[in-house]
Amino acid sequence: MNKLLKSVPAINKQELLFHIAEHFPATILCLTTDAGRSYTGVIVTIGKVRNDEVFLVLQVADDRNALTTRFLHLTVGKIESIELINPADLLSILSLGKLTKNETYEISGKLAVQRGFQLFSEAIFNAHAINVGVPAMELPTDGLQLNRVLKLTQKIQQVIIDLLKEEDALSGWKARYNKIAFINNDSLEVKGVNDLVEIYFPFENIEAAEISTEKLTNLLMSVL
Amino acid sequence: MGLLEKRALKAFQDGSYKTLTDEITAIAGYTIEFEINWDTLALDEYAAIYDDSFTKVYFTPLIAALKEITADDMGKEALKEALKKVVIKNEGGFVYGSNAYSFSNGVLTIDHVPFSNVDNITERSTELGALLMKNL
Repeated sequence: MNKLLKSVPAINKQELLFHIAEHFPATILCLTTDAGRSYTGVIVTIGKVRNDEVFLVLQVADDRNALTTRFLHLTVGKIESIELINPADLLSILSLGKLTKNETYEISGKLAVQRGFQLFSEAIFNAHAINVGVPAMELPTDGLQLNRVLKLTQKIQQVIIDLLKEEDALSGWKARYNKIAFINNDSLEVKGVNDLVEIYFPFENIEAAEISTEKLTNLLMSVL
Repeated sequence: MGLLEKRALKAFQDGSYKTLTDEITAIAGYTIEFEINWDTLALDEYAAIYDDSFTKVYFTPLIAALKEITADDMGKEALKEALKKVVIKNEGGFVYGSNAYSFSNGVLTIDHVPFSNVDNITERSTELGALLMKNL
């Protein structure tokens, strides 16, 4: 986790508070103002007013972090520091959603993955009437690695289903590809080789980050 | 084991046991070896329910799990490659599917008390199916 946190880009207080209010509204914050006073609670609302000043309303919590019926209206510019108390996903909060904590894996067998591959093909066919093929892959033998492959397969499936909602993407894929392969690699890459789409990713590295939906979508679009 | 138990056990071995293992062979598509520690199963004073209990505790969940796995050719092939033998015994005092099953080197071991939680067939089928899926 600490290693991943080091890769989080710097963000300002305003960005952070808007992100928390939108995606993690239950996060309890301790806000300290430039006057040295501290207030603990959750953000009820945050917004800009005409003069571009940002205000927020904080529902104040008591000593045991239980929410009270006290509310604080505060100018974000007056906030000196923000403390996050037991955040659900610190990595996602501090990276503004660009990174998430690593998935945990259970044991899976090869049969479950092979069936997952079959379902992958069927789900895409059912969604868009297109045969992308059953993923070809040299499967690992380790159960945790197999579970990662299975979970990644489901994510890739969803990315492809979403991507092919666009007519030009669907017709582009139909015209060029009818096979797909997953290849273990250090980084995410997508190649179009004849009628085959190759997706390279650290499929077997259970310590590696999850596949980025956005990056995969962009890379798939680049071969269509 | 008294005469009553011996007769009940023999009746099960000659009747339901053969039918059940034949059904398992048909589902699997190959012959799975069975090793059963009958002495630990055939407890005194339960002779009247041997047939019903052995069937429900050991075989019905196994049949249900195998049916699910062999629903397609991929499953049939994976099962044939992985499962060679089934050992049935009553040694550990286990009464739930969550700790009655183990799988190692192609051998599925079922260690369950024969007369406890007899009707928990669905629970045992689910646990066994999940265990086999992890190992296929």
